Amino acid sequence: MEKHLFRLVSQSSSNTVVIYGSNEKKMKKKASLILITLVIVSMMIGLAYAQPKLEVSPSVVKPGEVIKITGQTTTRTTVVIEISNSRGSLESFNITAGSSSIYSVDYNVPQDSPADVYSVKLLAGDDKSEASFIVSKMTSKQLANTIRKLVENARKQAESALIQARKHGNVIPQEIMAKYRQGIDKIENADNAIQNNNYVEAQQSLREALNLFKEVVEYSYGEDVTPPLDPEQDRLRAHEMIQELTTQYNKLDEAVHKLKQYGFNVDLIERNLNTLKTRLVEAKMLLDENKIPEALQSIEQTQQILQNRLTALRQMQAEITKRLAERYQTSLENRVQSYIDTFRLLQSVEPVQSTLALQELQSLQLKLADSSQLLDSGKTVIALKEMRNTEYRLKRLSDTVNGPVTSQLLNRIDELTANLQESTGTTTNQIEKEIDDTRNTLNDYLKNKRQSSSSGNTTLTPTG
Amino acid sequence: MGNKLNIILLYLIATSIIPVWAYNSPQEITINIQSDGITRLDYIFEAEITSLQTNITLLGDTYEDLFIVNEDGLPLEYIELDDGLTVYSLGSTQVNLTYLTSELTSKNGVVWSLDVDVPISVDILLPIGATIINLNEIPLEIETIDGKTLLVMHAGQVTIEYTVDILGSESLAEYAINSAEKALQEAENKGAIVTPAKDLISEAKSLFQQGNYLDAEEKASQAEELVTDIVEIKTMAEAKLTAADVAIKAAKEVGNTIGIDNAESLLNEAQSSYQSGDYDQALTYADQALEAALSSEKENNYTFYIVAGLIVLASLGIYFMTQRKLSSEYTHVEVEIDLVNLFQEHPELRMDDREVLKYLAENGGEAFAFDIRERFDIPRTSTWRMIQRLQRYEVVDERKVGGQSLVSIKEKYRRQH
Repeated sequence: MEKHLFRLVSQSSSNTVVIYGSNEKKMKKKASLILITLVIVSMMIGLAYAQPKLEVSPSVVKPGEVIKITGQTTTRTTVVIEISNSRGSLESFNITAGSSSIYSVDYNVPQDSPADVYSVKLLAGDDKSEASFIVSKMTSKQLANTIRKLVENARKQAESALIQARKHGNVIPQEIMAKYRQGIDKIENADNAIQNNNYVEAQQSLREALNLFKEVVEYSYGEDVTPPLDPEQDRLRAHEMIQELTTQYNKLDEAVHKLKQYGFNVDLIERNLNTLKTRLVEAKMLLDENKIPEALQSIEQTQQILQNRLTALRQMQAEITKRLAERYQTSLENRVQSYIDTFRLLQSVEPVQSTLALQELQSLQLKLADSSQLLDSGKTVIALKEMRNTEYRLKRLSDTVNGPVTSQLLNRIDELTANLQESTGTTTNQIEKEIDDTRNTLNDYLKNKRQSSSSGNTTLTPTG
Repeated sequence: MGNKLNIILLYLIATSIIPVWAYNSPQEITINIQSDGITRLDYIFEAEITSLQTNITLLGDTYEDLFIVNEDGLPLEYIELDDGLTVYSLGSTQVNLTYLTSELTSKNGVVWSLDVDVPISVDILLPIGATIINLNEIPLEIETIDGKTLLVMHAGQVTIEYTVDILGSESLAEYAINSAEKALQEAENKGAIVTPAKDLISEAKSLFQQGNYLDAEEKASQAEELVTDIVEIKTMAEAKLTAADVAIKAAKEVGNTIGIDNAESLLNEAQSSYQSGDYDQALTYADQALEAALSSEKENNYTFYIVAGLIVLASLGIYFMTQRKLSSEYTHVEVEIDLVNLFQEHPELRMDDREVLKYLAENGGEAFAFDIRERFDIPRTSTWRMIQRLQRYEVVDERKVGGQSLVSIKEKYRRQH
């Protein structure tokens, strides 16, 4: 079984009792202490045995692989298993232990699972146990080998620092040289551990090596010793900045494209985006031609344009929300009107309930007038909150109608009304016809219902 | 737009739950560190399609270039709060957020540090040219993307320390070996026998192959120094040989016989040592030969001493003229340099470039390359690269004066007296 490094995985601890001293006079006291310790340890062991057992294997898996969850319960036969990661709870299921209280279940780690530490909790009434596993694309061996390469680079940095200090005429203290050599030894330890498939030890040694090399680097570069900088650094910087700007440009371009699709006027931003793109291409060409200062200058100008575009878009964001809110308001107005039309039609068959419903709908119309006013005065967010409340009350109106058929037909009318707003031409006519048909169906249904029930105990109760 | 609204409305119809305020937990965080410590953070939050707003807490108190879109790339409105943001995400299932902050990184000496407490496991992209020198936890995953190291770290406190753009010992050793080989080639072209330096370079290469870059760099540096020394001693030996030869001929011409044989014998020894590449020994013998020639005598003849002395001085003069500034070819003109304007026009100049330009300004706007080397204690190749770079920036000119490279600040930055 692969072992993985650090926290949460297969945590174990050991308690060691050490007795010092040889004074015979104190022997009695010590014997008592030992006795008490033994009692406490026995109690702890007893408690540990009382906990349900839980094991997960292997401790590191790739997305798409299977984790085996096994263990033994105490008295209960059904236990709850909960799986979670740092993003939250993922899954929870019950399993039933066999005759010997042993249970076992396979958990398929989903393909799209992010790399994370996953916790497995077992709940059996008040008893609980916890274990964990890691989801990673890399095996512990691959990880150890990759870290080994990182540490090798850190070693080169430490050596580089020593070279610079030496060139500067500084005498490197023995203590620092000792740290450097200890770091090399730690790398060797890690190599041996990797050979022996002991990746926990390997990674521990590598981390210690990193710390040692860091101390060498920090010591060697003083005020007067400057680091040897990569002569290619300007080129690397320019390359990095172009990458970064390209990422931001793509996001901005996507947003502007989307706004255009939604009918917003983005001509100005679009023109500026084209300038931005030209600048980016120019910067890339300059970089390819090794004209680094010119490339950096072009990048700086591109950054400025990008910032201006982001500000322009920020100004548009309020307009976007307002536009969506206005459409939402119109939709609600149409739906309320549609309900009014429906209940007016139903007044002859359900006079009391329809009157109550119409009263509620009139109240909603007033609410919508308020939200419309708020929208006009630029208070979009408050208007949206008002509209959400209206929406909620409108939903309650159809939900509380007695009988599933009535409720279903009312919802259908509401749904069609919502679609009506976005429809055009023949589709509009079709929807309007369907609304009329559904209203008539509802009317007929209620008429038949009333005729069949002489008591007429319908409880169409709108809520306010 | 229509479909979007339909989705919103359908969801609104399908549920009767009034949305409540709650801080949303991110599903993905990517921390992309630039070489100047500025960090771009990309978040993905899941949003309730029916919720009016999504409340978000951010890493870092100050941020800029904040950009928020939904899953379709549609920009979303937001307001800034003391402890985060409220994003109006009604109708969205996802909120994608990007911003820049400089608060997550710090620099101490040459060591950069990223310190951040993350709520979920995160992707961390280090700058190009970064070398990790400390990690508080072992990452979950590591890979390289476009020259950048990507670390996936656990949720919780993350500390990563790294350096940027500092050459490692392998590169330094490689540069040192290349530089030594170049110097050696130049020396050989001048006819110098540089066998000991060659041996040192071979040793350096062997150490490099073994991965012992620290010692390889030292050996290569020693080799280059040795080549420089050998060439210098060779030049001195040449001058001394010429001087001794001239002195012997002069002594003979004036009829000196006492000590001339010894002088000639020493001169032969000197020439022999010179031919075999033992320039130290050649210099010693040539010195002795010169002394012997000057001490030779037949009779008291002061004219001989005067003539011989003049010849020796002339010979030594030739040597010093080739080694030093060749004042006959180089006229130093006092000028004032407008460094303020120069630095303003070229903000891209590095600190070391600026130091050299200050030095040139203090020296009337120009200096020989070897003077720059000596003044800043930098290797020849680094000096050369720096001059090339400053030429590329069009702030200096380089010309040859007596075989030496003279670096001058461009005319446009000069105010001549």
